[in-house]
Amino acid sequence: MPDNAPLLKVDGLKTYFFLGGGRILRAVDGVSFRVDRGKTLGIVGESGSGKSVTARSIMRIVERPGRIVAGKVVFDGIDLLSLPDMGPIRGKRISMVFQDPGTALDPLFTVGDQFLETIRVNLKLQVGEARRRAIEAMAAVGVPDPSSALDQYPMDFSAGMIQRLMIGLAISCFPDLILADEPTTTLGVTIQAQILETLAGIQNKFGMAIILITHDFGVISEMADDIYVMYAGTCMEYGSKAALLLRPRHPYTLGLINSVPSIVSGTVGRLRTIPGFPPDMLNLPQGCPFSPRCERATQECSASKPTMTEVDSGHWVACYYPVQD
Amino acid sequence: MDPQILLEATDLRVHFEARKRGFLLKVPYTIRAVDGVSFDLEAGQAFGIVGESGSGKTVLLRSLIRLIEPTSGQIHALGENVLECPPKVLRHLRRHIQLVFQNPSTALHPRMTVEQACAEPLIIHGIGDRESRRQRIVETLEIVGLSTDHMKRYSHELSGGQRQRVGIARALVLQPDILLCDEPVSALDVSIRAQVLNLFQDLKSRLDLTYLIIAHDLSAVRYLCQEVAVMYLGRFVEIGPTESLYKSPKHPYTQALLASVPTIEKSLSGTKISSLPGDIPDSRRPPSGCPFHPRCPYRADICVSTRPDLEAVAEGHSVACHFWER
Repeated sequence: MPDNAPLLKVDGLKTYFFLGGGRILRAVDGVSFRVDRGKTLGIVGESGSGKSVTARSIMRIVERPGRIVAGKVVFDGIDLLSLPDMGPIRGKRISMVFQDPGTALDPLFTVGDQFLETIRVNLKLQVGEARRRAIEAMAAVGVPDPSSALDQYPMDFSAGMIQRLMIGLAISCFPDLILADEPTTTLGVTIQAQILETLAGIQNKFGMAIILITHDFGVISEMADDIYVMYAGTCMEYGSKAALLLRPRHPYTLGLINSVPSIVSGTVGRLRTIPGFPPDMLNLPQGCPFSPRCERATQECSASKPTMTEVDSGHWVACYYPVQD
Repeated sequence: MDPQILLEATDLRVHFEARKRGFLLKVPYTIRAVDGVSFDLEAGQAFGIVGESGSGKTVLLRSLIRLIEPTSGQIHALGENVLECPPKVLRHLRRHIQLVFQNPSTALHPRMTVEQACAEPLIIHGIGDRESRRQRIVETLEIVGLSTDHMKRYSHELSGGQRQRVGIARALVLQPDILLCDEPVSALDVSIRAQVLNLFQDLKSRLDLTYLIIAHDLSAVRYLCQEVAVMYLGRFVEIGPTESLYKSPKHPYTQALLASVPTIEKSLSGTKISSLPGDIPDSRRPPSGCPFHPRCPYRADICVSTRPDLEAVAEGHSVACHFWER
């Protein structure tokens, strides 16, 4: 396989939830992106935009009544969606860090039990070696005194330390890709900074790729190489971080960037906001899902959905009237 | 008390007595959630308190209207002594000092319509008859950007932003002087957060309101507040005018907070965020001396032995650090 092939390529992914009574919630409705080795893709979007379901679809852990109905997920040349068993991939070559550290570990088992189970199943190691591997992974993410931490229970750790442990668990089997779903949302700002530094540090050291899912444009701009902006299950804009931050072309991206008051220079007067409310996912408009809230929208926008168009090299926008400078 | 000062807290302390299991006996210990906090709330101003979880900011806010009983200290509000007033006066105070809660999905009763939720405080305080209450609710909903269509809806029929507007309307319907806001926008999506921040800004001038806002979101506090205090383990470590505190933070913790927030601006200018080592200490076993010393890059022996008091560093700007001049 040529070296420039992406580590992960998602193409036209659709995951729908069949709610009964013929109602279909199109949580992910045609998502396509690529992640290169050692790089970070940031998926940004508000609640209900489909970013978590995208990650769960890649791992094939979508819960019923959800189902992947279309698309391709190719990981290192392997077509994940047609794989009979995700076992050799899940937790070993692709691992996941979840949002809420409070519920991610089983409170009745020691941290060591949970680490060793994962490591022994995936790497087929004996207890002693698995323990050594667990200690290495915990040290890499900055857990103080890893060998005694293994014998403690989750309740003995703070939320920030548990999130460190989760990242340690995620890297313990040398994965090529980590899916981190809002890994810092429930943490305070100083702990968030520690976790982001830890993620960046292990990426530097071990060279794994990361998909970082968040609603926080600040976190994305700190961490990502490429940014994928989602709204109502589809992509609004996709490109390099520099392109999206310096020249956002989709009105939604621009609106998100503008609606955060500045902490550095201070914002005076009214904030520029995106009008209206998040979309009702069971009752989406026919055309562009953002059109009811968009100041630039015309009849064309509400009549048909714009497709992704390359406005600059590697910078894609789904909009009939992209923002010029 | 200066008539411009609507609320004044002096050396306020809220301690919780608890017991943990020891050898044979349960050992009593004290959690000092709020440990000697003083501030003034000036009419027409917005005062912000920032701090991470566990800093004691929510306990402080709730103790101001005695939803949690303070252990010691003084609170004067709207000309009354809050801690020594009779129940009738306390009820009157609570009518004029209203709370806005963090999570609008759990703050509203799932089986009450918007109209019922907004009527409840009026009924409790015996204000108006059915018709005049309805009139006032209609007016208040209009102020927060909702229409009469929303009155018959239940909480689950509203979006997160609409629910928070109902939460605000519920507080405003009593025509309070002071709003105590506990993380008023942190549960909202980014696009909705900006709308609600604007709403707070509008209401302040339109209804002549005074705010006390606690938040961990430093950008929202900077946007809304004229004065800010930084809280750590139950104490203010720095307090000052917003501009001064954000432009030249003196306490190492304030500096670390500001340096640890990732923003688009920092990313574009190539500034990496920097983090602070360690966690907020366990409030059952607070560190000796300066509570921040275990995480502080500048600590010296005096920081371990002696707790620094707040000292003035500029007009209205005080810092509790032995080495603020460093």
